[in-house]
Amino acid sequence: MRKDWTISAALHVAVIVFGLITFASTRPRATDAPEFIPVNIVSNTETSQITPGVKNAHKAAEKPKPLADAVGDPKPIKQLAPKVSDKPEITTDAAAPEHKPEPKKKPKTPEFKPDQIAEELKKDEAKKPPPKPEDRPRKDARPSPKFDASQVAALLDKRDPQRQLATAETLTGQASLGAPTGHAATLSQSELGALRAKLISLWNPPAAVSAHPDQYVVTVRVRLSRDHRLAGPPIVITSGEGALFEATRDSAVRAVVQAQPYDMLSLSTYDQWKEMDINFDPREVFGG
Amino acid sequence: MADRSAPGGDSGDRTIVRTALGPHRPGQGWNASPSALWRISRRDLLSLGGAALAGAVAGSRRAAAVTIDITQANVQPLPIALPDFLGASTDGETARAVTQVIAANLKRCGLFAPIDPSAYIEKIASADAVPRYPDWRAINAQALVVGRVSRQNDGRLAVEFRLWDVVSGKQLDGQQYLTAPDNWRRIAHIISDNIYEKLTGEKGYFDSRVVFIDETGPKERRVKRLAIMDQDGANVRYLTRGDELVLTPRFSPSTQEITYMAYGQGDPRVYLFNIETSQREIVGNFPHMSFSPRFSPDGQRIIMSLQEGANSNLFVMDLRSKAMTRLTNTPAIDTAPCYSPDGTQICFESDRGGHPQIYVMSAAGGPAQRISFGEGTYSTPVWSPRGDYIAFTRQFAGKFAIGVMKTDGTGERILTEGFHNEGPTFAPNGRVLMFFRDPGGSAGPSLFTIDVTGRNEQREPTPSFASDPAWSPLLS
Repeated sequence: MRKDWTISAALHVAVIVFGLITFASTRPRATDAPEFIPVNIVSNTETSQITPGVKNAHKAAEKPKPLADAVGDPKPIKQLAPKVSDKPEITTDAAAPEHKPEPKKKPKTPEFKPDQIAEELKKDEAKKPPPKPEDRPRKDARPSPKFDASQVAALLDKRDPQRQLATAETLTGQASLGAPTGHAATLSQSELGALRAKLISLWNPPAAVSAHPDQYVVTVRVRLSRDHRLAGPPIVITSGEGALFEATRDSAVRAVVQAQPYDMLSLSTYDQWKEMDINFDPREVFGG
Repeated sequence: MADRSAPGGDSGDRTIVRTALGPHRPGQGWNASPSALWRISRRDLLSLGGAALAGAVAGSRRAAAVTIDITQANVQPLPIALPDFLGASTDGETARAVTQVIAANLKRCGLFAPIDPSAYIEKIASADAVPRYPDWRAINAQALVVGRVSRQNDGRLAVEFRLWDVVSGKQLDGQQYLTAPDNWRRIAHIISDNIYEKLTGEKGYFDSRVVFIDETGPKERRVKRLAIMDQDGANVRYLTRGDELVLTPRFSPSTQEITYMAYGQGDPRVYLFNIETSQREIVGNFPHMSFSPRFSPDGQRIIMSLQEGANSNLFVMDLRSKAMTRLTNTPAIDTAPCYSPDGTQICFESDRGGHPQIYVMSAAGGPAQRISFGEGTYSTPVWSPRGDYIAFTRQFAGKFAIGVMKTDGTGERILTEGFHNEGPTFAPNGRVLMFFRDPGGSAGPSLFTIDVTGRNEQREPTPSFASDPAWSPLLS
């Protein structure tokens, strides 16, 4: 009896000691956040889908230019009085010394890279003996056209930015690259999905169509403008008659009007969604 | 313009004159933008309309770049705004009452969700002006009803209304009704039907009545009177005094008559009762019981059961010539006949197969085809006015259920089930059923309505216990 007790106690102690030693040495599982691997998702639409255009177009025009609200090209300033820009000295003064000394000194110390401060110092040095405008023969009796800091403001274009509204045709005068019959739907699935979800949530067809849902499929043509709103009243392409057709038609038109603004569609694919045919099909709505 | 005569007029001239109110200048509701960009003159609109039409014709030939299929929907009650109709001082109360009746009708049918008037932004000042659509869209209204109640020089009441689609920005309907002042409730029901039809695409059922058995007194000595009321429970009128037991009243589809069965002295008989004159006559003179009568769709004949020994068979009686025609001749109980809406077929209940089941046969008689095959027994078949369903009472496992099946017996659906549900009757548009339910115990039966889809069960208000409802056709 006593022997049993001793053996049992000894075994228990052994197990506990073993446990204390082994389990204490195990480290907790590493909980470091997994390393993230940056992944570029390359869509096959970029290569496989062909946009409408001509075959021999310039490759650069592949990506359609941003179309609306283009800012006008900055135009040369004519109306500013002092002919500061006429004088080459002013511009060369600022720009030339930066580059002129470089080729001279670089060969001397090819292994030494001058730091910024050194460069600045060199610039200053170079500026010290500026080719004085006085040295040159005077062409007019004007006061010295020395570079005047107060004139810098005059260089700025003070006109308000001119936004030029232009239509797609005028801006993309150059045809995009593509096949003449190219018909790629570059609307993304997420855009289409969001559009569908919105229209589904807003379409409330009359329950009475459930008797013959196949007779009440209504197609609505919508034209959208770039502000994501309807550019005109929705056109119901399907024709029909009777109170039930009219009620179904009106429910589809209400959904299309209420879905404004269509801001789930991105402007880059405007060409695709500027005109859409939307089929409101009740066949599956009522389990028919 | 069309004339509508009001039946059931027991006092004075209750003629209703209807005038259509022309459509208003369409607004530009399709573009929710508040900008004035689209505020264009009528002439512009005409030329624009012409151009749009031409564009539509030319444009519909080619497909748009993108086609989207919407195959799901969000079917829910349509939010509708019903500001009180306008009315001068004396008619203001009537105007409000008309609005309330319309709102109650639309809410009860389950297809509309009237918006709480406290949410309204625009205060309607004119029944003719185009409403401010953004104000109504802001409270999520899709439809708006505005109206006016006024008094003509000759004392008649003029009720007019316009129904607006505030999302698309157009008038859907506009009507004016002239009638006797005490007839305002019917006008409210007719306007409700107009709104219902424009927005759901189906005929309404609000301008209709229900005849039923009014039950008063303790259970042991129940007094049963024949009563009639508007579909919404208003205007209850008692047609019999209650000194005899009346059962199974049925409306004529074409005249202001009902037929019912009553225990007078001795055997139950089928009677014909004129609602307007309160005159009644016994239909035929038969040696035994005649029961379970129903009109043919043209109202010219009555089909019923006649007792023959321990059995009963179906007969049809021409109301003008009083000629009787036998339709069935079986050693079984054939009863509860009902015509199809086109009058070519009859559905009825028969226990020729052992238990009561539903059969369909030609209106001229001949072989019948069993259409109910579920467990339990089937009774009180009634054919939908739309022709698509047959409603029935099914008794199974100690419960009574109301259900519908297609006319060939397929697609059986139970709409409600309980201790005792019985006697379905269709609303005139076939979308809603009324039946009576007895909860058991000391309480009595009451009337309920339910959609054929099984949704929107509503208790029908009655002054006391009620059973055996029968829905009238549309009054107009």
